Amino acid sequence: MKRLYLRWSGLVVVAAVIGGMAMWRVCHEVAALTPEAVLSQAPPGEIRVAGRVVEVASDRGVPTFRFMDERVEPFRVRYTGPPDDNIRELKYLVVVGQWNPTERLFSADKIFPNPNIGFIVSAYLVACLSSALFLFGMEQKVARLYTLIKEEKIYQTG
Amino acid sequence: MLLSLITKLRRYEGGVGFSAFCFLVPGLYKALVTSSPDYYQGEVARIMYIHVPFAEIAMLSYTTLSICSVWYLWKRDPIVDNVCHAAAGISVFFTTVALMTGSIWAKPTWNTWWTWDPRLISFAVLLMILVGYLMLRRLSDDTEKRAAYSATLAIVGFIDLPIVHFSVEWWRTLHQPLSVSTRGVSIGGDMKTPLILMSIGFSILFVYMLMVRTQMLYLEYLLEGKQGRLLTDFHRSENDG
Repeated sequence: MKRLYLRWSGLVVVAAVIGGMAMWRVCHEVAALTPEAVLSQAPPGEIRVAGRVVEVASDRGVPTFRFMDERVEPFRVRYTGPPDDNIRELKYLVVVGQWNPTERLFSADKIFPNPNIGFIVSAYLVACLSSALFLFGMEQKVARLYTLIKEEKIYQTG
Repeated sequence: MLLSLITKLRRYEGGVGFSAFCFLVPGLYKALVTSSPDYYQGEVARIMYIHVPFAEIAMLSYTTLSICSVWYLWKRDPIVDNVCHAAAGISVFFTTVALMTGSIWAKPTWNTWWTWDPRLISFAVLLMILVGYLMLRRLSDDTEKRAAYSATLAIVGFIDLPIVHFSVEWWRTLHQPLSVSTRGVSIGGDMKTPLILMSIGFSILFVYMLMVRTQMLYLEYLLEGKQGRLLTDFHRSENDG
């Protein structure tokens, strides 16, 4: 029994390390700001902003659009990256680029679809946790049954 | 013979479990950390690395169940019936989780948790066959009859497996076509590695689970036999008294 618990503790540690690395990646490479945060704080450098696309237009071949909102000031985006099919009305996108506070325009050079992190986490938790519990339950039962059989001395009396 | 099988399972299970671990850890790392997002689906495509192996193993475990059922009807070996019982339990688990992860993936991509799609329906039918199989095993106390009836059901139910596999080719469906077929492989290199690692890892994990569950069912049977014998002895002494 002791070996079983030690082995499973090791597995939990390995799973936690991979989970931690995945979380780090989400925080640093996937998480995006809201248009409100960019409009109010104007963060410098390359940032990621998420929102729903509306009013897609073309300004001399360069796609422009804004994020759907109910705010007074619209969050306008100008996309200068390679052609992308994902720029469509009502599609939820993450744009990567720089905010120009003087022009009040976001220049994006990369776009990504909505990350839907909650769904990914749910799917992995359902699959990995249930597998671990199912297997742990079986292993624990086998260990208990071996102990029980030893105590009952089945082989000696049978 | 039963005891020799259990001894062998106990001897090799550690190595099999460790092999599964060696594939699953880098597979999980690549799936969650290093693989790039899909062009259209983005990050949510990462669900593929868990959903596809589970669906594959659900079908592999049912195939194992069907092969062992044929073997049982041919040889009438109780060990094989024990393996069938173990494979059915594992198959129910993998089929249920594949349906659940598929449903979670369907919501952001198809905007629905469930749709009456041929692949989904045939997969749900597979789960019902498996649940029926396990229920049938509980109906009779006659071990030989029980094993023969359930083996027959498993063999008849095998007809659903090609329907599950080819449903995306035979009918119009929301589900994507076969990614690996005679026409080639339609998965990008960056996504192929974690998918292969996870598929191999879960296949080995299935073998490991089968080894552990077969032992568990056999030991339960052994204890039940012992308790039954003790009970008979008790009644005999009561009657003699």
